Amino acid sequence: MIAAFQWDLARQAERLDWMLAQLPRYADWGYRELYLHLEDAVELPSLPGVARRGAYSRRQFSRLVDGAARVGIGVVPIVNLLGHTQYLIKAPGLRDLNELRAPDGTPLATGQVCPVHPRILEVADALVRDVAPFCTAGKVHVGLDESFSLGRNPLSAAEIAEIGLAGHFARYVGRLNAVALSHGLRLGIWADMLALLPAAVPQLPPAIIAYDWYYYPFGKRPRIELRNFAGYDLAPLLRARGIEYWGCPMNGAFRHEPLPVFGERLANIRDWWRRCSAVGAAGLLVTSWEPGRLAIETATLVDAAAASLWLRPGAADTAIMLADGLERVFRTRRPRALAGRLIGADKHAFCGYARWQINGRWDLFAGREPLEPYEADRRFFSRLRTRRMPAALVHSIAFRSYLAERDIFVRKAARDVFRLRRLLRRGAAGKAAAKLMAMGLEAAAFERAWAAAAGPRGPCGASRATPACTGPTTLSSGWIHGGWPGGGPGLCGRPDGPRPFSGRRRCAANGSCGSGCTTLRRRSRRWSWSSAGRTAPGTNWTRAT
Amino acid sequence: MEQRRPDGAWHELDSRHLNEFRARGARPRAAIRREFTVPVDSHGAALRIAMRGVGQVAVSRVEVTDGLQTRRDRSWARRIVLGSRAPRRGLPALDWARNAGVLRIAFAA
Repeated sequence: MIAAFQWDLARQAERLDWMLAQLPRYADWGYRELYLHLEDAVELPSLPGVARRGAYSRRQFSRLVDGAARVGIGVVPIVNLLGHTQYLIKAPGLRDLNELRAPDGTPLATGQVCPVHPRILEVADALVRDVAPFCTAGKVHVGLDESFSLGRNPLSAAEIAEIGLAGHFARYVGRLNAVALSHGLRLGIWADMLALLPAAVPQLPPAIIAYDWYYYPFGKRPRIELRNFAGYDLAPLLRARGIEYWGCPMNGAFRHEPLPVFGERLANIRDWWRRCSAVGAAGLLVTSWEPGRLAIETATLVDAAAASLWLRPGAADTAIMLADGLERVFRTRRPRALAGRLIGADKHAFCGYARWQINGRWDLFAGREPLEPYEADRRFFSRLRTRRMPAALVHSIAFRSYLAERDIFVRKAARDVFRLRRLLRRGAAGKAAAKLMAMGLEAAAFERAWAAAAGPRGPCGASRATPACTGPTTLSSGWIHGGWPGGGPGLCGRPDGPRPFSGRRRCAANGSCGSGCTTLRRRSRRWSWSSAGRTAPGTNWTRAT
Repeated sequence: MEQRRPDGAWHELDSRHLNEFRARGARPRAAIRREFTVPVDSHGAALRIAMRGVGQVAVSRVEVTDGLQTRRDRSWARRIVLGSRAPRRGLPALDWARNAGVLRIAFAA
C-alpha cells in the first residue's frame, strides 16, 4: 500500500525552502507520493487570469517537484474541475463556465463549473496540460468533491433529464478521463460524490482512482455526514468496476483550530489504515486542509506519527504513535510524557463553530453558560505552558492559552455589563463606579497578560535572533488567521507579494517572525476594543440554548 | 436569529453553523448543547429562529434580557425541533436561502 501525504497550498502557501527541507524527512518516514491541492496557487500559462498574484512560479514549482523526485516521492497535483472551482470562475473570461445563472441567464459571480458547458473540456485540457509536467506520479487528481450545485444550469438539467444525475456525473468523469489519458495520466477523483450517487459507479471509466475520505474515527466503514453519519462501503462497488480505491484521513486543522486534536486525528488515520488493509486499498492518503490557523509543524507531527502504522506494524495506541512522531520530527527526548499531555489537550480543544464564533464577534457571548469549562481550559494550558517542548508547540500552546484567557474575559465582561446595569438601577452609583473601574482594570490586565506573553519580541515569545524563531517560522500567519475571520491565504515565493496575511512568506524573507507578530498585536488590540465597545449599556440580548 | 424589519422583511442578525468537528458530534444523535446569544434592538423586537441546511436541531430556553428584566418565550422549557431528517439517498439540496424550519418567538405577557 502506498503512503501519501498532502499540502493544501491553495489555502496556505508555504515557503519553498521549508517544503524542500521536509521532503527527505517524509521519504524517510515511508511516504511515496505528495498531493498538492493547488487551485490558483501556481502559474497556469494556458489560463491567463487564473493564477493569483504571488502564485508559485513554474520554476519554483519545478524545484519542488524535482526535490520530491530526488528522494523518491512522486507528485500528484490536485486541480479541481467541478466543486471548489471558484478559482476558475473568478476570471472574467471563464465566468460563463458557471453552473449557476441569474434569472436572465447571465452567470453568477460565484458557483462551480458546469460539466456540459461547451468550453469546459477545453479549459480542463489547458489546466491538465499546464500541470502535466508536475505529475511525476503519473496521475492527475481533479477533485470533483462537494459538487452540490449539479443540475442548476439549463444545459445540465437537460442532460440530467435524459440520463439521470448519476449518469450526468459519470459522463463528466468519462470526459475528464479522456483528457487525462490524452496527456498520459491516470485520473483521480474524491469519492464523496460516489457515496452520494452510487449509481454512477458502474458508469465510470475503469482504471481511474477513487479517493474515499472521512475525517473522524470510525469502525469498519466510513460515514457520510450529509446522511447524518450513516455508514457506507464503496470498496466492493469500485473493485467490481476495476477502479482503484484509496482511503483518506486528515492530519490537522478543521478550519480555525489552533492545534490539531491529536488523539482524534491519529485515531482517524489508524482507522483508515485498518480499513485500507482490510479491503486491499492501493494507498492511504493523509490529507491536509486549511492549515493556515496553526503551526504547520503540528500537522507534520501528525504525518510523522501516522508513519508508525507502517514503520512499526501493530502500532495502534495514539499516544505511542504521537510519541514516535515527536521523536521523528523534533528529536524529543522522553516523548511519551509530552505525547500524553498533547493527547490530554484534546479535552480542551478550541473546536467547532460554536467556539470559533468569538473570533468574529465578541458581543455574541452574553449568556449564562457556566464558565467552569473555560476556566478548566485556562488552567490546563497555563500548566502546559510551563513544560519543556519544541518551539512550534511552545508557540501553539501560548496562543491556545491566549484563546482560553479570551474566552473567559469576553464572557465575564458581558456579564459584568448586566451587573453594572443592575447596580445603576438600584441607585448604587458608588458601587457601579467601582465596578466599572474593576472592569477597566480587568480589561487592561487581559491586554497586559497577552502583551507579556508576547513580549517585545512578538507573541511567539521567541527572539528574532533565536533559532526558535528562524526555523520554518510558519506560526506568525497562523496566529493572525486564528485571531479573526477573513484572513486570506498567505502567498508564497515572491518578496513583493501581498502583505497583510503573508506572514509565512515574510518570515522567510526576514528570517524572523517579527513582522507577523507585530501585525497581530496591533490588530488584536484594535479589535478587542472595538468589540468590547459593542457590549456597552443599552444593548439587549436574546439567548437560546 | 432573524428580526423583522418595519417593511415586514426578515433580517438576519447573526447565524452559526452547527458543525462541531469532533468525534462526539460525528454520530447520528449527538447530545451536545450550545448557548447562542445575539444582540437585539429592543425587548419588543419581532424575532424568529430559522434553521437552514440538512438535519435537525432542537432549540429551547429562548429569552430576551437586558440584565434588568428577562422575557421568556412561551415555549421556554420545551425542546422545539427544527429542520427535517437528513435524506437517506440522492444528492442533498443545500439551499442556504431557504429556511428548513422556523421558530417564531412569542414572549409570554
